[in-house]
Amino acid sequence: MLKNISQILALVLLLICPNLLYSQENSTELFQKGNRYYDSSNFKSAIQAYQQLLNRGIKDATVYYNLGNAYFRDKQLGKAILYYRKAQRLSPRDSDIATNLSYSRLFVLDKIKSSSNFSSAFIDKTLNWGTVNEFTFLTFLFYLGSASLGIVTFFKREKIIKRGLAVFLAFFLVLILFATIKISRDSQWQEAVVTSSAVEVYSGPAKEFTLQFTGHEGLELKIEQEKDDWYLAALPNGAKGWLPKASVEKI
Amino acid sequence: MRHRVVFLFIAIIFLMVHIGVAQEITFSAGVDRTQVDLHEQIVLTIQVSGNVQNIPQPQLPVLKNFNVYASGRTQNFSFVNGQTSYTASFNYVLIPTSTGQLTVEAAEITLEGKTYRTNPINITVTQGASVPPTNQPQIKPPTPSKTQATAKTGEDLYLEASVDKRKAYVNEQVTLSLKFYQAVNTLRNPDYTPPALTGFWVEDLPPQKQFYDTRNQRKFAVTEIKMALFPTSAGKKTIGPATLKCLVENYKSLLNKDPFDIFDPGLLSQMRQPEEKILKSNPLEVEILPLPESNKPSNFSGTVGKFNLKASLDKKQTEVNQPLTLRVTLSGAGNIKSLNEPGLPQLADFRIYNSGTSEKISKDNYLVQGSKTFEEILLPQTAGKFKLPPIEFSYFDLSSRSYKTTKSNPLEITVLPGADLASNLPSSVNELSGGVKDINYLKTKAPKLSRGETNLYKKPWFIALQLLPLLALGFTWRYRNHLEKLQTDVSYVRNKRAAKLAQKRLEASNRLLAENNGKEFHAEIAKAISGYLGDKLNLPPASLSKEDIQRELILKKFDEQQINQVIEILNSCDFARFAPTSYERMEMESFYQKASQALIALEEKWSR
Repeated sequence: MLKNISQILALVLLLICPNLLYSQENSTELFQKGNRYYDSSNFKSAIQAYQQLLNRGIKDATVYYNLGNAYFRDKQLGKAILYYRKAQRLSPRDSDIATNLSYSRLFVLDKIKSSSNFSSAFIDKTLNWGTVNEFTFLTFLFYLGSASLGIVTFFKREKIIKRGLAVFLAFFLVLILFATIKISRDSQWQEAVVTSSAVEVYSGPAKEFTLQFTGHEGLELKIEQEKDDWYLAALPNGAKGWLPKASVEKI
Repeated sequence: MRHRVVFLFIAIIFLMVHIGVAQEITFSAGVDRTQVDLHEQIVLTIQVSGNVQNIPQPQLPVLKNFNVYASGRTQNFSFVNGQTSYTASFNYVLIPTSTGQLTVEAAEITLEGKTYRTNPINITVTQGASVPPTNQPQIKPPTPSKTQATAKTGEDLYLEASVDKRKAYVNEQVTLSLKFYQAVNTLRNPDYTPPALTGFWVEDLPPQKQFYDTRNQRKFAVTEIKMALFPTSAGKKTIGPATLKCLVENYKSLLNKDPFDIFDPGLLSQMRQPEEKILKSNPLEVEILPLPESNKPSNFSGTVGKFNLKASLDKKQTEVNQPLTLRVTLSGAGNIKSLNEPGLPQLADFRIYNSGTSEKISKDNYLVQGSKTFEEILLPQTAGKFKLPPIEFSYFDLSSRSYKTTKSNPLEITVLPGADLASNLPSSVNELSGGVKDINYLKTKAPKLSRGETNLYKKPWFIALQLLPLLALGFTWRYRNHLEKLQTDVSYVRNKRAAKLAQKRLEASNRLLAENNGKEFHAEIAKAISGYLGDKLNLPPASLSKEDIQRELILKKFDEQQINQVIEILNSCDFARFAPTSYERMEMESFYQKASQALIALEEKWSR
């Protein structure tokens, strides 16, 4: 009976939007095609296949990761780091992504010492632990927990429940804080990776300004401002400067 | 207890932050003592420590009142978990040449563009008992033959100084020789004070030489000591006199006495009475020529002589962050101790730490020569094949009177990507500790390939969901209050049940109406109304008179018409109960309607 209903539902769904099944199958095929190209060391075609998937609007950590690998093998370090970073945003605790990202970073010519101190590094680490949705959901769980424990305290005034409520409330408040920071960072912080082999960074948005330093492929920057064809970018060590938009890609 | 743990945690965090910051350079100077006798030695130690790659020799100020001897450099280098710390001590032996309050001026060092200075040190020099310092050569005169000992003491002893050249370049070796001529025996070892050698770097040239020499047909025993002097600056320099204090037997007093007065009691003591003689050598003038300015190489650091440079590595192959040792050896003739380290080429892919110097000095033929080896620790930062460019060292060649440069052979290093990367990288890449040599392979399992989903917090249903716990909280709170009042508040309970009870009584009266039981019907209606009012007003129904009802309802601000209606109903009920008349069914029904409407009106008014 139940089986029948689901079959009918699937049929109806197919009738309404027939290209749903088609595109899903095709996407999976395309993904596997990319993997086969990669296996036969045809990295350029693999990149094309994965990029087609992305052009369809698919946002998926696995595709980003495989694309990063293909770019790495194709010796496009900047793009590789870019897509590993994109993958990490969607799946922050994946060890493959983390390994490949840190490995490919070893090849970046610019070595930068981060100027962040211990406590801000701790906050960064915590925020990088999960995605926005994970933080949101966790906050909601603790909200729910606090509310239910609150209801229980209306009827049972035991010490242990009150303490539990205090703990849940504390976690809830801290999580709200972290979730807020995470959301505001994700929407305001724009990060980018240098994808051209070298980029000259100037003190203003034109080549007539003083050349401040030269960055190389794979360098990760934070974009703070934009003007015409230029971005104002900041490095983790505090150095800042303007660089042409074409030389970087946003994460 | 819990507070203590929290405090400890915070303290640890602060400590860690501080450790991260504390990487400063310290530069200090100290002496082993501040009060000495003239010609005693003081050890000056200058210490540099911090995470610095190349520590040059600190610049010592010109110390006019001291003879300065460099006595070497010791260092300590540690590399633990990517943290390097480095300490270098430079030792100098200072020998004061004058008495009084002397000042050792501040030494200077320039590291990474910053200049550090030490504090000046005050030293008090007293005349003291002129005991020769232990490190000074002891002049042990050979015993001259007795027959040579004449009565004349005037030229029996003298001290003569000479140099091998009167003109020399800065930092060129000038050999000073001091000869002590003696034709008589001295009573004990003479006190020797070295000459004032301001403006020279001094190296003793052992061994002492002892020989016989004949002058003016007298045979002298000669003790010769030599010193190598390296002038530190150009100009006319004077080598001050050396002094020798010695005791000789006084023959004069013996001769002037009557030889027959042999039993003179003073004679014996006079014979033993020694005479103190102070000998001074002749001062010498030396002209020091400056080194030519023309064709002076940019990396010239003042070395004069003849040198040869060699460089070697302890291994040709290493891993990232695994140190290797580079040895640079300068060998030749000249002022070995003052040799500065040849400048290493800038190596972007290495961190360079100075780990020590060692010297080998031989003084054969009274010429200072030997070798000095500089050890550098190279820490490769990146993998790859590297060629170390040749290391160059420039010096002024004395034989050709021109500048020359000696070069090492280029060296090759192969650096493999290390397994130990993790220790030097941020902790987020701990996955590397397994020794990563390549990226990980693709993920082959096809994912669900969804379009990016919008964030949870932007979805309307999720935002609406946030209200649910709040609503639940509100409702349960009200319910809890209700339950609490039911248990504790009688008037609340009565108030809540009033309408229900009245409803039940009205139903009962309706049944009585059907049975046509007029008396009971009216009694039930009266109970419904007075019971209801009793519950609402929280008064016992038994003691509730119509006057009470009227008064209470006026207090509750019911309008007069409604109050009158209620009283009227109660009156007609009383009347019907006590009057033995029977009632028309129609009449009873309309009364029932009237009573229930009055109750509804009361309830409406109350619940508003």
